[in-house]
Amino acid sequence: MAITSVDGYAAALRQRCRVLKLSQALTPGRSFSLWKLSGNPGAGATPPSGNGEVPTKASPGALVWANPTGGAKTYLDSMAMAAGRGMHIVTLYDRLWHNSGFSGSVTTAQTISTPPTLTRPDALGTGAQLWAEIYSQPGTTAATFTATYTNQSGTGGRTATATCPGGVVAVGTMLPFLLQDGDTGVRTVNQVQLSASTGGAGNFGLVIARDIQDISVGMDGIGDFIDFFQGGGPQVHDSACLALRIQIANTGTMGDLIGSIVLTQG
Amino acid sequence: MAATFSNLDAVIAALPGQHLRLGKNGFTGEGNGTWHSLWKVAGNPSAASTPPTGNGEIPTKSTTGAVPFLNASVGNKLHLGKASVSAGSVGTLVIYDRLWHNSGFSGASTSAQTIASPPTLTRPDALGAGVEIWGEVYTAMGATASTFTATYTNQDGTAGQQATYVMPANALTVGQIFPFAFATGDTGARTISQVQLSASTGTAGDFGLVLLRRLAEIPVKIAGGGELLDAFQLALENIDNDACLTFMWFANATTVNPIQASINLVES
Repeated sequence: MAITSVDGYAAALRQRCRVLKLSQALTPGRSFSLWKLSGNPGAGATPPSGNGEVPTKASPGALVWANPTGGAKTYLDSMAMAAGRGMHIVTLYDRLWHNSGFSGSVTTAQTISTPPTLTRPDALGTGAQLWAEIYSQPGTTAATFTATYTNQSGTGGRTATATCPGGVVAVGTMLPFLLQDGDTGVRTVNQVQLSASTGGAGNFGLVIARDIQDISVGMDGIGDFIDFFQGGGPQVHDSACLALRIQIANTGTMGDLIGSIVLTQG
Repeated sequence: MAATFSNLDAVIAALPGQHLRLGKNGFTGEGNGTWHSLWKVAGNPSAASTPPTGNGEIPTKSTTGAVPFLNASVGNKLHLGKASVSAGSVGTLVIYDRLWHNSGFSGASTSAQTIASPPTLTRPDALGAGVEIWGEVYTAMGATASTFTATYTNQDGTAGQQATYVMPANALTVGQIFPFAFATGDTGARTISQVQLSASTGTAGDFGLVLLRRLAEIPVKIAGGGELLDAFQLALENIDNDACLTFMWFANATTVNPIQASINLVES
């Protein structure tokens, strides 16, 4: 079953996920995870170290919603967001796998011995991206993170790189990995290796994520929304661990973020 | 989960539905990035009263300050069918159902301030799914920073959970409404049993707590301009019978000019 007509869309069941995340200091131009930020839903936990886990909608920190029944599918219906400070891009994504426990001061390969298989919608990793997330501040020396992964076609030994900038890299910072040329997805990650010590161990992990929708949020209290047709009705897979990421354009704080994400099922 | 119409024809047939109007005078708030409750702002509907102290009450559509409307017929449901907002200032209007509220807490007390017998929520049930905890200022408190900790029962019925609001070293404005952050994993609140401040703000003032469920967020991007959301952009959000429909403003500036809004409720 799927929503294939306007009538089907009109008749679809809808559920609203309310979001309220409290202010944090940010660095313009960087992406930040709202996973561990307090608010509604309550803050998520630092992921397990090592092999990590496949988080779901039941994981603390994920938006709460109910799977469809009777073979129906779930789609993003609308998204409305406003932030108390600055201009941002807010991204809704499915957090497919994550871990923690990597050191910012180790330059040997840090391995993931038995990474769990992705589950949403399958194990292939099509369209999945790779990010690093900072759980405890590393040092202030710039370094390149190189992840070794299996791509969307099942080819292992691929390498992706992320730049950890010099200076303070705040907790919650998310660093995007650039996949190897020609790759469009990530199935599993085997290891990460730093080009240099950042000068401090800290604690970072990796996140395999699939973006669902972006919304641009205007200045200081001015929100925006995207409806089903504007957003293209992207599918949300059963048990998706829905989370938010923010990229800030112009100021050093997010202010409080408030909004709603509506899912429709049919 | 929001109930639905069977097809687009049914939605169209239900429009325009009940037409509700809001007009609130301008006010002076706390400044950009903060929220201001329109509950006690003069206009249409008229300004509400400060809620009762102690156990508070369950406000309804009949409570002064709420937007009046007719309940759905037996077996039917009401939904947001349209909402338009225009305002003399930029910001975001938040429409919500005010499910429970009280007043009478002191900003100078660091003891536990209890709610002995909080009433059970009624809309749509007592479970508190999607219900948030906010505080509202009725008389100005002091300017000393303090963490407010509310002890509550969550959406699963687990008692003793703690939600927090960190007040900065700046006196909150009368009418300011401020959000509490849930405990890890929580997404709703059924009842609140107490609130406790980590430090005196310096002045007792008067604040209360509000349990509310947000229904829609509507941005106004240009001062003097407006925004309109249709039935689908509003997700045909359910409006429970007897809902205490009211509003808060997410501000861009300290001075907020008059706000006008129009809401249509359609029935399925």
